[in-house]
Amino acid sequence: MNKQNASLSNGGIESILIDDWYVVTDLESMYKKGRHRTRLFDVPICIEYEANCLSVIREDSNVKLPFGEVYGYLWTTLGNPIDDIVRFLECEENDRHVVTGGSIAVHASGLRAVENFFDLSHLPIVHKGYLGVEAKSEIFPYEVTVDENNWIIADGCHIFQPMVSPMGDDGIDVEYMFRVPRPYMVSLYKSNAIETNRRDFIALFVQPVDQEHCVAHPLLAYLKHDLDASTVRLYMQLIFAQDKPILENQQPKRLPLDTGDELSVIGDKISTTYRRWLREQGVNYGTTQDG
Amino acid sequence: MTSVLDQSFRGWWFPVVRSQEIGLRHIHRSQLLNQELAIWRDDGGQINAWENRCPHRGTRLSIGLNTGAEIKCQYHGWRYASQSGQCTFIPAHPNMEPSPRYCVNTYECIEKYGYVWVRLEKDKDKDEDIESLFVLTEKLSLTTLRSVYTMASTTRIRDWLINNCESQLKVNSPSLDCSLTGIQQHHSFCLEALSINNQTEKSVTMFIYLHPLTDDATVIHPLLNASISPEIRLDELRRYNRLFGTIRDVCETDNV
Ligand code: FES
Ligand SMILES: [Fe+2]
Repeated sequence: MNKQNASLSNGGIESILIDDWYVVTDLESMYKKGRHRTRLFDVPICIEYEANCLSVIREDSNVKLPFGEVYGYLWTTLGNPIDDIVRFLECEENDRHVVTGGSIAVHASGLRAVENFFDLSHLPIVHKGYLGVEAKSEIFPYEVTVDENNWIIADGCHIFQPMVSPMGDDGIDVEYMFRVPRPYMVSLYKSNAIETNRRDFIALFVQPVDQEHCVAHPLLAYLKHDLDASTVRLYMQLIFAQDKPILENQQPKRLPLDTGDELSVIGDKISTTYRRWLREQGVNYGTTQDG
Repeated sequence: MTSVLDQSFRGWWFPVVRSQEIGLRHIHRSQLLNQELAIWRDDGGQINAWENRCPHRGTRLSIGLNTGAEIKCQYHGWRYASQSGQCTFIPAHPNMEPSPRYCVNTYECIEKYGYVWVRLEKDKDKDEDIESLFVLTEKLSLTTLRSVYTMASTTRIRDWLINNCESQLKVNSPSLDCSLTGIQQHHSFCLEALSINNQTEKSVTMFIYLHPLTDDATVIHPLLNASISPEIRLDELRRYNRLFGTIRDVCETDNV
């Protein structure tokens, strides 16, 4: 693909977004279906699997797109990425289940989906009984920084979670760390109940279909113990099903970046940092700055 | 084309929903002049018309919980008091008292003639009281008929009712066995007509309120200036329902 073509057809979308890799489908379902049509930044694309060969085509120009197969997902790009597809060390450890969590389409800006993923204070409300309890909803101060790679890191995030155990409805204090490597990508580390010095890992790769639609592609790397992979996947889907109706009822559908548009509290520090970080990098796609 | 939903109408009172539809602990989702509303009643009977958006992260309040005195938002559980819209509790910071800026946008609303009336802005020059919008010379007992949602602009419906309704309904829909005549306009969103029962040839006065949801969607709220006796109630309501259903169909199909 020649450079001039690419810049012409990318509709003025900021380079920080367009020159990067995005998940557009999971590989397992590709092998079954053979063909998958979707959109990325409004651009229609078609993924085909034929004679043991994968291909990705931009349907507006019939140009073949580069792609990669990483962590059970197919990644592609409309631009010219400088970096490789992001890697996470945890996913290389073999005492973990590394599974895709089932891709979910959401009628909201992908940036809203990212915010929901690192949002601490909704856990005791939206996921009560699973990831929090309403009586212990307080959010204590945690630290948010932007590291040398320009990733947002929120560390020391504590939340009281009920223990799913036959012994009763006890709970434990769970510690989270969130990392935001890209505007449309977020990951979390969560203390493991059995191996207290290690953490479970979940990432959310968000495909911006257009400014008000996205597909959330989760990836989980859970310490195996006696869990099986399908339990891990089902749990993810149960949790996401609680978030989807909230996400689709947020107004406006695009993420507001102006501090005056939505009110925040101290517990929202990661969200207010994220919005400032997006603003400073000139991210418009999926925000109320655009259109 | 200039929109009928001129900003100046934000100072007008509109009927938005029948009072009877705002039941105990319910939250009704509506719209007025492109503005989404959450309409609810507290357990003391007070009615609220709020912007349907939590000021924290924008979640629709209509998917929240009506606790009888407050609305609790579904996303992070912030609570907002009836009438003032003031946030009373933030679960993430249970010991913090939310300052006055943590408040939902609220609109003026009252209940009258069987409807919840809302206006989005106070209009200083035209601070009319609600009675002047609604000219009832003799107040009989009123019957609110079923409100009809249409995918047509308010202008379209008003013009059709004034110019075509009388002739076209008679010719094209004789089976309706009721018709409207003597249609006159009180103001941009309120018409008055005589409704005639073709069998009994009895006529009653009817007010037809037009409630603009968006630029191209309107609710028709028909209000009968009469009571209906219980024996014929169901038949009568069905008759009116067919009448306004037909009006909706015509206005939607010919909407070019
Ligand atoms: S969005 Fe309503 S409480 Fe957060
Ligand atoms: Fe969630």
